[in-house]
Amino acid sequence: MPIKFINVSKKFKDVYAVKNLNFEIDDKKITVLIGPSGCGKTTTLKLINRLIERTSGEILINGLSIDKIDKIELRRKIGYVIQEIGLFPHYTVFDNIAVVPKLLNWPKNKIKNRVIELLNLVNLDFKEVINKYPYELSGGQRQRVGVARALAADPELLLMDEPFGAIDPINREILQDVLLNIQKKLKKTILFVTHDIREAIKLGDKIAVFKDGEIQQYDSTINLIKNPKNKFIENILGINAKLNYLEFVKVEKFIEKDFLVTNSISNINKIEKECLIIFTNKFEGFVLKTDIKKGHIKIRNDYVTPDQSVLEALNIMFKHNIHCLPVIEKNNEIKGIIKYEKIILK
Amino acid sequence: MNLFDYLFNNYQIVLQRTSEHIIVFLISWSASVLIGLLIGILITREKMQKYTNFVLTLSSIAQSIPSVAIIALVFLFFGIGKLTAIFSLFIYSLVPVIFNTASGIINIDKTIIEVAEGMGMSKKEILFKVELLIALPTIFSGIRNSAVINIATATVAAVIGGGGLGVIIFTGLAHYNVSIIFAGVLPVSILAITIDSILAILEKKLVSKGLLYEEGKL
Repeated sequence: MPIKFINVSKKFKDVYAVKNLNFEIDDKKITVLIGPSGCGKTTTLKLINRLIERTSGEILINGLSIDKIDKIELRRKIGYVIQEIGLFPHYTVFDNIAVVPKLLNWPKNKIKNRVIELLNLVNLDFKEVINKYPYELSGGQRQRVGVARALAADPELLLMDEPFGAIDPINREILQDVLLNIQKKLKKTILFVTHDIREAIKLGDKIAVFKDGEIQQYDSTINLIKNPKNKFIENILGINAKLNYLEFVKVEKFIEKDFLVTNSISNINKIEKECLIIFTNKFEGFVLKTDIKKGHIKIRNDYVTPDQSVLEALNIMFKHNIHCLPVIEKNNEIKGIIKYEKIILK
Repeated sequence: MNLFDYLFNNYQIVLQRTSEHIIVFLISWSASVLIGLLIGILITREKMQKYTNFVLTLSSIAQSIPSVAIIALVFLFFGIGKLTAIFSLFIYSLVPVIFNTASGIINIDKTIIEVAEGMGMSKKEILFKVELLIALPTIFSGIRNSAVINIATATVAAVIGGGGLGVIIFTGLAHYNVSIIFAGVLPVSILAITIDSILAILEKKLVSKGLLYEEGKL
């Protein structure tokens, strides 16, 4: 569900909570709203499910004004996750997840199957947790249930308001990975509010930086990191942004085809490509163009898989003082190579 | 003179007074539970929320007024009789129900209500599936409190024509007769304990186990 904000403002008494918002949220992507507290990011989120009604402007979902959709119906089509406190304390895990399906009068069997499916999706053992009450769960488990609950009726749109804010750093990383995995499978439109730039860079396909109720910059994550528009954005990004980015980007995004495949390295003294991959049924190693130039052919056997992070690839390159690495799938399929210059220049 | 003399020799009178007591209690108490719940819910609705605190303060003041004072006041306006007794009992046991229902509901974490709203629950669904269920332990303690107060106060209401076990107790007091006093005190105590126990069992059945933790009962 693409969402479009046209000149949207919200005033509380005389103060603008958000002012003249004009932006579009991409379909099936994760858009992160970030900014200091009181910047209007949560307000923006709540304007969409109309927990807060805008003062002026128009919000379109799938091209349709949200005023044209019944408020209750609209909300049942939108998954909503907040910090861990949001679970109903008097309901078991099952009943918590079943809330919206029950409101929609799904048959009992369908609800039960759905709950089990969702608990598997968020990596919880359904037998262990299904009859527990929220107080019997750990913070991380609660938040997984929160995510499962939001996904219960298979909404196209997910609004997440600092969902992992109260979780310890280790579990937060795990939950972020769970979310990314879910997103890979389900492809929802997700609007994610956070004040953690690391989280924003890790999760966001796009990031909107808010300040005093206005959007300072709205861009793809990589563009935002490469071209921060002003000092404020730079400050928000912090000095580690570029490195953070490399940590979260997968090798697959940088794969090039500048390589040759051979099954033997005898009588090789010159190659046109950067890298020669030796392959006989499986990956045997590789030889670099630069090594051949220097006259000593050295077979190296490091490689990366496409789903490793670019930072890991860089690490291996630094360790061996080389500028490219073969990218090999786990089933031994050659994907290509990844080059140092490309990572740094991009 | 045996403590149980009067009780055994006049058990028919005691039984009759006991059933009178139960009837007066049931009528006035069930009315105050129903109306108390209703008022408690009404004053916590969105449009009424500016009055919630006022009503809570008022009812907490009302709770500190002695029961005899209420009975005397109602007697002044309505005269003597069973209805007067029932009415004053109703008023007096209404207060804890209103107070606990309203405070139970308004003390629920606002984010939980907001999430319920955000998930697409209507106001009615929020009331019945979230607010009342989470406030239930507090509401129950109000209802139990109200029942015990009602049974105790009904004894005093005998002086304005309420009948019941109070009649026996006051007769005993007038004659300085321990056996007669005891024949009133014992059944009224049993009655209060029994009703409270029944309500405790009901509470255990109805209140979600998930709330025990917050109540500190775990």
